[in-house]
Amino acid sequence: MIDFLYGIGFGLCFLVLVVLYRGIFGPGVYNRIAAVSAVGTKTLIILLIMGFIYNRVDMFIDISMVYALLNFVGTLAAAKYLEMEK
Amino acid sequence: MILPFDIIILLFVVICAVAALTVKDLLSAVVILGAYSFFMCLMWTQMGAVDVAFTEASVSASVGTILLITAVFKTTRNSKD
Amino acid sequence: MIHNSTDVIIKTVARIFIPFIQLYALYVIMHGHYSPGGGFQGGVILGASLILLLITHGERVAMQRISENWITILFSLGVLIYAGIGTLCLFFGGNFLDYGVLAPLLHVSPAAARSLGILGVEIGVGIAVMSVMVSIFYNIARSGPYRNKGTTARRES
Repeated sequence: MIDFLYGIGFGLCFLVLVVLYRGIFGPGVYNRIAAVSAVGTKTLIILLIMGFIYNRVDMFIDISMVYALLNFVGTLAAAKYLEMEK
Repeated sequence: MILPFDIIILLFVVICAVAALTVKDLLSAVVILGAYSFFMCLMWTQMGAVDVAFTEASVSASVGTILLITAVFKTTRNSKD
Repeated sequence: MIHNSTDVIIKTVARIFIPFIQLYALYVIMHGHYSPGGGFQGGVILGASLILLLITHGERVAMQRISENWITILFSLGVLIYAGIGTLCLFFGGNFLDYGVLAPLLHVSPAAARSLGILGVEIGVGIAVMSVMVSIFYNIARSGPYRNKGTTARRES
């Protein structure tokens, strides 16, 4: 079971690397905003996988819920800035 | 201390930090620093410090990014160097 | 940055999200002794919910909910709760923040008095942190962008 979770964790880290290419080299700011929002959703799952490996999931669910609720507030603020600039 | 995740997340942190210093557009630098804070929270978690990870998540994901964007709003958006 | 948004999606999503964020922040403050969290983290999440209201609905609607006078009263109240509980322990003969001596005041055992004292201190910290976050954001984001070069040149001449 632990090996299966490690495999899933490495797969998600590879996906984060692929998305991070768009976040760094993306021409313009809109690509970077979308890439950071996608990284936030992967971070949620990797936190829960670490909770399983430490064998105490009920503590790590609270941190994941913070990201689930506050992930879009940063994206909203960046979009608000770009709307006001025009 | 989960060793494989430690090395991978350290690589991501260094990549994000170098990228945030290199880009010319200040708003893009602020957005990349938002991703940097996600990876720092993962780093604190795999070291076992759960309360520090919670503080990093709640401060840097929401209020820290918003305050930096407001600072860019009040000054210029293109850096001089 | 504090501007009324004309989009109906952003306003509706913010209106649905804000009560749940505040409920979750109260959960984090109350369960600080058992799960990760506590006073400071819950206060920051409460402040983030009010900043979300300021960004999406504009200045007029948000100031009807919580005005600037109340923000000033709240962050003084938070510090007063923290220092007040500590000094109350001094009056009863113990050290500063020694909650065990409050047991005859609350009619419980000393262990339960320590638990209630820590909970009261966390609530004070949460209220203070929430108001300070909202106050800082409100002071920074007001009255539009100003160009730094113009004011410096005027001062030098």
